[in-house]
Amino acid sequence: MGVDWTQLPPELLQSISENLKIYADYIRFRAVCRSWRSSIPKTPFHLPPQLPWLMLPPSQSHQSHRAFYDLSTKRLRFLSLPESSNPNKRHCGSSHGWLIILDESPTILLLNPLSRAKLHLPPLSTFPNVDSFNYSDIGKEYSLRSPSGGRYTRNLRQMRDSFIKKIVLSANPSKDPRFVAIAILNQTGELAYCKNGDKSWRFIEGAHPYSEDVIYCRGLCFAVDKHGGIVICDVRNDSPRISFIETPRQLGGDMQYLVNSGDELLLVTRHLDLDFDFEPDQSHLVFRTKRFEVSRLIWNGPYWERVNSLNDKMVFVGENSSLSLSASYFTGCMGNCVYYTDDYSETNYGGAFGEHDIGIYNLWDGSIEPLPCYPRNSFFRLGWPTPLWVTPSPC
Amino acid sequence: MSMAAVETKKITLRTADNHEFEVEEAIAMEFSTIKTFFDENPDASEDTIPLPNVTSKCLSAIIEYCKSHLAFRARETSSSIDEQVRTYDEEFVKARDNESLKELILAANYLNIKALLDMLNQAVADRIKNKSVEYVRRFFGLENDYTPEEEAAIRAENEWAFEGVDPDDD
Repeated sequence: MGVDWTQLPPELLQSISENLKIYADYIRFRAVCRSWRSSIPKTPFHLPPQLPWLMLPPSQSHQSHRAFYDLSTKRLRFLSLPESSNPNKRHCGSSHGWLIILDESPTILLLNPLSRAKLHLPPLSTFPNVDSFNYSDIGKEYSLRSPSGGRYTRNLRQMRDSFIKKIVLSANPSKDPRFVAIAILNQTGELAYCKNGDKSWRFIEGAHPYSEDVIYCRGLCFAVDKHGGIVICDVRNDSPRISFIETPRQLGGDMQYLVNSGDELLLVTRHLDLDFDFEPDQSHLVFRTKRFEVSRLIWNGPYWERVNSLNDKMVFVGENSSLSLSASYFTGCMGNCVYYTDDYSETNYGGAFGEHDIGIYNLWDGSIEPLPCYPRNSFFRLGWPTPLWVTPSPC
Repeated sequence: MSMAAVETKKITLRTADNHEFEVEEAIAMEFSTIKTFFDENPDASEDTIPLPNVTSKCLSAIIEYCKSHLAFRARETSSSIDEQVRTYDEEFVKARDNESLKELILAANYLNIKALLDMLNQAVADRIKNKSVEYVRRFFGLENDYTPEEEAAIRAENEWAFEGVDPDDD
């Protein structure tokens, strides 16, 4: 029965296209012929979270393009990203497909590298502990107040590099105009937040030492401290309300990440160890990740219970908003692994040497594999800033 | 008082290739198109319903599907039933070649059987996953109606999406 599929009712076409869960499949589907292209919307809104790409450090040869490594096809994708390619930029987060970019100005830019959509968050100068900002006070542009009341100054570069540890978004700004941004402040370990449209940032009072990691879970902000203690922040109304989940102290571990995995809350603990890094003329003592431990929160306790296997799930941690995905939805990746990037070397060493501490940790046998885009002597190996997981998102 | 035998009402359907199928009313009502027809024409139940857009091969498969799913639904829901439904659906699709799958989709669309249509659409999506644009065109029997310039422009928009596809070996 010869059927003219160009005459297919649009709803049928759309229904098939909505069953395509990988963005690239959707794009190719739409490129099949004219009538299909006009029947199927350009921007899909049904896609589940995609497998993150690894955004590699800028290279000399591609000035305005940035390379992204795609685990599924094992290829580098080059996207035009002039906003991020300038060496005076720093990323302090990657959330729902958006990059959070700082530079030597108070501006905080949100940018979706695929859709090129942009937004601004309230600038650095509007944090409650910033008393004043003045471009003409060269070298001391920012005047800040510490929690104890003392005053100090910071210059443009210092504010860019060490004021903010990480910014996390509650949702994709394109999909939810009422999104919230949460910032973890480095030195003081405070949490600050702002909603779309706010003119300034506000502190979440009482959330202060919970500054290892922050995620959104069930519409609320969860933050974790060094020992696995959790504060839940509800910032939906004018005054944030907080409550605590006190668990027995988790001892050991150098960094904690909080991950929302289906209906479970996971604590991913990173253990570092000192290692020699051999460079051609000198060797450095650097920190390297030795292993990860994963625990799940037993709400009825509450306490953290060690997880021996993530089964099909994979966890992506680093400077990005921690996330977990099912490996079986995608190709080129494995379940029961932690895909990690380096989110500490830059501030620890303040400079550019040594290999990045990135790789794939396999919970099954405790082995560590290099991330496939980093062959032994590749150029990117030494580039800074360090690679970052970015979720490709059409909007 | 004698119990009268319960007679299951049967509906007669005639396919495009002139085969007549007698199906139980319960099954025919799974086809929303037919259900709507009977809702609007309550005294037409004795007539044979013509289905000019459905072949007997398709209808036979669809009746099988609806019969099985009705049986599943009659049982109590449990995760093992869900598992059986999943396995049934997988087997139903696995055996079909691309042409049959497409015919079934059109038939399920015409007869308006939502669950079957959703399942078939997912199956088609799975078959074109990570395939090139040319493969998808051949799968659906479509001509490329773009000029080379237009095609190049479309690819340039999202260059990264057109690389790394499975080789077209079928």
